[in-house]
Amino acid sequence: MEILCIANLAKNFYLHNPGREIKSCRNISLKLEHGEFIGIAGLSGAGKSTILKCIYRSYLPTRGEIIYNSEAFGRIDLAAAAEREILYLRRHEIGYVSQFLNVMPRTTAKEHVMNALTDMGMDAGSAETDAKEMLAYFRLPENLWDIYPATFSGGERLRLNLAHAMVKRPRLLMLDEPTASLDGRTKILVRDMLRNLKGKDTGMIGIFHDIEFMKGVCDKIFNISEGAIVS
Amino acid sequence: MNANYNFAFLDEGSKREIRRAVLKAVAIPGYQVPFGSREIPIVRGWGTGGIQLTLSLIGPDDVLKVIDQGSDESVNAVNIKKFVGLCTDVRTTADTREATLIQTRHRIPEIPLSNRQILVLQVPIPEPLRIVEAREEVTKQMHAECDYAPIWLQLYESLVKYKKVTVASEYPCMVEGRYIMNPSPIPKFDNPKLHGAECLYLFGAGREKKIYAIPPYTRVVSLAFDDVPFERESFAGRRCRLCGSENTFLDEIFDAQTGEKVYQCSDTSYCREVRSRPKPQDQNLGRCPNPAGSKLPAPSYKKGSRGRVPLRGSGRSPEVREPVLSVKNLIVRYGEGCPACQENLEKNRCAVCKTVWAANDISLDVYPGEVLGIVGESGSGKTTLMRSLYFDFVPTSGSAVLRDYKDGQKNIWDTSAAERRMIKNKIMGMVYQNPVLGLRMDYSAASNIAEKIIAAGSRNAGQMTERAAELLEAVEIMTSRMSEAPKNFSGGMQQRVQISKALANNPALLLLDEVTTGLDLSVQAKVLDLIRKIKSMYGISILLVSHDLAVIRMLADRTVVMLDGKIVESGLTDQILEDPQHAYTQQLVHSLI
Repeated sequence: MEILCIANLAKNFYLHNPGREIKSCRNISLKLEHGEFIGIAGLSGAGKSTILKCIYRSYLPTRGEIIYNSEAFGRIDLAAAAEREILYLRRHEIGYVSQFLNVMPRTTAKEHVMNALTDMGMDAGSAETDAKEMLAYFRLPENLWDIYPATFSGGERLRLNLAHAMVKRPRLLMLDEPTASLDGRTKILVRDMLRNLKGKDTGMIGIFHDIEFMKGVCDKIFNISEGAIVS
Repeated sequence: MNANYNFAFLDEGSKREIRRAVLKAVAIPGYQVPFGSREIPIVRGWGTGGIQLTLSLIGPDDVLKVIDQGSDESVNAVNIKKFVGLCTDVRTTADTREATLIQTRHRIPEIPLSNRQILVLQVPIPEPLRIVEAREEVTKQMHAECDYAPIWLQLYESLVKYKKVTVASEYPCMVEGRYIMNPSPIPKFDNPKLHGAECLYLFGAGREKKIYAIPPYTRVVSLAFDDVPFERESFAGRRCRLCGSENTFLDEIFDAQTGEKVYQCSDTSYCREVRSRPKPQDQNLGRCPNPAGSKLPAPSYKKGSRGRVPLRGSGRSPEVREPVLSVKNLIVRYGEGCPACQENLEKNRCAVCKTVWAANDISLDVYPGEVLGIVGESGSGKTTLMRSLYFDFVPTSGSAVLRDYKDGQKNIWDTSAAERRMIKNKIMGMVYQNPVLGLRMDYSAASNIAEKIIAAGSRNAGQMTERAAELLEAVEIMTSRMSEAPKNFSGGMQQRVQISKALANNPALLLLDEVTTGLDLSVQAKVLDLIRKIKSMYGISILLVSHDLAVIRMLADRTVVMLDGKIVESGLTDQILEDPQHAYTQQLVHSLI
């Protein structure tokens, strides 16, 4: 059975000032299998991120169903699930990587990655081991681990983001341009990591500007234009 | 006896009133019985309470002894003796054993009293709680509810400041496990004599119009922490210069001529008796026969259930569906309201009847281990909600249940004051925007935390100090400063002391009202970091009010948006911030800088 099945997803934004409705995506339907990687391509403003955010429920979908096959809850419609359930899924099953880093003040890089695991209920000792392993994998220099990421470069932040999202080995992972400012070598690492995750049955949906990279990891690529899948 | 006086001066009606009060006082040991204090030809405050007791109880066959601070010859004692003699003709004596009725100011004789004797003590301030609470109606309520935490805190504070309990006289004691009593300004040296004595102790406060009693064989325990035993004044190595007694209460006499300090018994008749004993001295000479004067075993405190609550560990299952707190239809209204209120609201005020709806039908749930953020402009009802939950306001209507209180079966707004205090101390913790509301600014930081622990029932000073140190360390306040009062602290430190105080008893729910407002960025970061740690380490649920969206984004799992006393929108925090639905929320998010 597929891990994710989106049917007729639509998202409109109603702005009270100036009283206008903005249509973002309409009639999106897609299926994602376990271990499958779907890439989404399209121009800026085409509605790519909207789809990901609707799945993650940062946006409230206007219409449609997002059926996710959860380990804890079974088949669950993310568009209508209770907030408590979404919070649980975010902690345990669904990951989201963006190009922006969102870190608590005065939290070190290592603690940031560890928090993802301790929030799941892992003890601090094993969380630290896993966190270190992941930071090492993404080649974040060891002397940065106990530093607050506020001063990190763009590439360092991204690697930290990836480590944070992947350390808990999510079942469903959304990637919103996570490779935007990475050098070639790191991109290869990310690609290997994504392939590795695929091998572990993680379903992934990703947006990348780098078409070559996308072709290297994705099983399918959908083109989005004006909020609809065109190919 | 002067025939112009009624026997014992007082009219029979007054005596009856006082005797009735005495009977009630004997029936309820330690309870202050109000009585109609009469005019006496002595200034109020010079023993009128004691004199009225003496005059009401004395009979022709009694033998009266009056002492003032141990002495039979001081002015006060002599005058009272003369006055009573004038209107009764009873015999007076200095011999403690011979007297049947002894009136005393501020001492209990060294010789244990027998079951045919009554000791009447003069009391200036009968209320033991007066030093911690000025209002009579409040102290009455505290007695009624056994709410004695503040007096314990007073003792703990002196331990923090001076490493010992510094109260020397009027040392409070617990009578028969029910009422805390002021034993009048006797030195604490005399306190043990109250426990299990054979005689009847009566206390009279004429100015304050109160009578109370310790009947024979009553359990009287001087307050002491489990690990810091009660101690009397020590006169080790000193003895009375006249009779050579050790182990009596000694007065220190300073000779200005020679610069010499000498000691002699405060109880003059005892001293005289010892001196008149034939020499050579027998074994017991100079030793007070049995200072505690008690046949009951020495008092001890219950041990067991009290003590430190273990830290609540992390890993409380997120799957628990039952909310920690569930508020339903909370309404806080100022004004009577009218049928047309809801249609005529201008913001939160009815245009017709001028009723203000500070909280207008608020319902929300807080789940285990989550942070629920509450945002909204000033006057939207955020603080009204928080303070209703912490019982600072009485809601007009609505219900709130706590999972940890009666299994969520009882509305916390439908409880007694004692239950509310229990809920505030054990289940909830509150951090106010204004630290003055949440802290005792004049008490040390350690005592502020201990206050909660005492209120929860612990009487172990060492454990309180240990816990206070642990909590202050967790909020990054140096333990070297724990004996300082928060009034000397910076705003950020005060806020952190408030947080550690709120955490003292491992509450299931923490209420944080604008905790970071007015703090500079680095301090704010410390507080945020602390809150996050609290959440992840202790699994405590948090209700977080803030108008700072950055704080909400960092900490809150879910957020509700309030406007004009109502909840206009609620959702996942990132959804509220990225995809706001309500016009007000959109405006709020678009105002983010």
